Amino acid sequence: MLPAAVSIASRAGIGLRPSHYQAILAEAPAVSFLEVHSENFFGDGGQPLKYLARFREDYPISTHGVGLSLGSTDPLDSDHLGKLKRLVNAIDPVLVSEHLCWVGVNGRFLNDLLPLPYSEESLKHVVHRVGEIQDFLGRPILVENVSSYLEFVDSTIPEWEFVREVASRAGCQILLDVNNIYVNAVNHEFDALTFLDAIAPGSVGEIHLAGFQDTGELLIDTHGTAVCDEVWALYRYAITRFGKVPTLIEWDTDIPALDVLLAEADKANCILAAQETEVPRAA
Amino acid sequence: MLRDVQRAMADLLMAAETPDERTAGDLIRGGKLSAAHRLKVYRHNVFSNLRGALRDIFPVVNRIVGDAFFLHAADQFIRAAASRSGDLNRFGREWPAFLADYPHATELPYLPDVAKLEWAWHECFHAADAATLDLERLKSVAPDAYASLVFHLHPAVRLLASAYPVLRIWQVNQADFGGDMQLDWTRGGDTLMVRRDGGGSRGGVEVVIQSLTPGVHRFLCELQAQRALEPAAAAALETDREFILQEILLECVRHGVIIDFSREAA
Repeated sequence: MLPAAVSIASRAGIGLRPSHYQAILAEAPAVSFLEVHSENFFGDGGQPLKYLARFREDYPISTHGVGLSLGSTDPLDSDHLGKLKRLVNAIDPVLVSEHLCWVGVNGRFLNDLLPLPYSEESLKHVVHRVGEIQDFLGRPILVENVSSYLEFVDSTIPEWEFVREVASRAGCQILLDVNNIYVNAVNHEFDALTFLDAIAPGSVGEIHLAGFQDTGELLIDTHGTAVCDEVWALYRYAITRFGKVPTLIEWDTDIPALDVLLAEADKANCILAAQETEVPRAA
Repeated sequence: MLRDVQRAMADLLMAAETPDERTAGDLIRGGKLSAAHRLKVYRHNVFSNLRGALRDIFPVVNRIVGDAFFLHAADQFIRAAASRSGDLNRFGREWPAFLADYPHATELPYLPDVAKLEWAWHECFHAADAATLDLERLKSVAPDAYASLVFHLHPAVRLLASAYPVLRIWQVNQADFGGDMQLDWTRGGDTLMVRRDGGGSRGGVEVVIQSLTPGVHRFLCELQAQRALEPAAAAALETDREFILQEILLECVRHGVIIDFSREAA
């Protein structure tokens, strides 16, 4: 039997990476959930799935996809989707998320989270695709706003409206990456609060926090450092607006010792503890 | 149209030459930074991700050739072979063949086989689990039916033959290798099996590389090609007069290399 459900909104979760497997097994840290990149568990068996099943005994698991290419105009990759479903059936994740981006076109994959032109055409396309995915998986998903370093000439609506409309029309939840909002606000010169204020309370099912790299010209979303003060401030604002939302600390490059990651999670825990209400109901 | 934007963007990301401002500006807004500069950030990210995937799967090739050579070759490969999946674990299948034809690698003729070994390791790492074969089931087969049995190998078994000592090359290029790096090139090539080990009724998860005699290698290759026991054993004996069928068969069942059998299709 799986452990009794504990609210995953009460404490932060952390990204699960192989370099921390042994430390997590040994220390059993009090994180509320572990998040993995879905594709790393697309294999038929072996060590990755064995470990994931082991962690599933102790923690709720969130599967976070980086390769489904939600926004691509290619047909959905049925093989990829089939593997995602197999994983979801095996692990029964507490959250299943994908990025609001495209990863390849014409059968050729760039394997990077490429932004969409934010237009009515893209919106209709993405809404339809989210529907296809949710129907196939038989459960709702969350879609994450991505960081970006460019805007397309074809963009006609602000990103925050696009994200809000995808959730509202497709009936999915938003995985709100607060770091990505901050990165984009600096890169494209808008007010991050405008973004947060545009998102409907009740539509946010998870929040991501991570660190970026400042090249002097752009902020690059590297997931390789601690969360910066500005992003913590935005997170506090987000929690006040959206209530206690399951929160995840992402750290994917230059991965530090587990303690460092847990210290970041504790910062989020303090902010969560100060907030009294659970996720407000959708208006 | 969205599709046109995505196709044009993909072309710009993969273009051998850095796109100029006019080309990039057709697609991307300028502003604080030029369109070409913004595009460059993505070109860098795309190639970093794909190079990183290759480096993760082929660390020994990387160690042998060094970072600069590896990155240069990787970039050529990324343009030539194109990733075909959103799952980066599937990128790199054609890397050994690419290295075999790569003009700058001709002085390292063993390199493609080292890459094949690393890809085999990668495949075994993710391959399916399987229960071991119950020896009692095998014992219940009538002796005269043995010759036509078809044995099934574990999904996490890969067989490899090389004219070069690739196992030794692989070993001395492990990050934690501390011994003598000397290689005896006169020793000849290798016949290898990559498989999983580590116990448990469903088979282990540790990937191991095992050196085989040419006879055993031949035998397992025949089994993998779904040849029945008799012709497989005959082929193995042809390769190696010392090949002892019963011993090898038992060993393979015990180590979970053989996991099942069926009667030959009539």
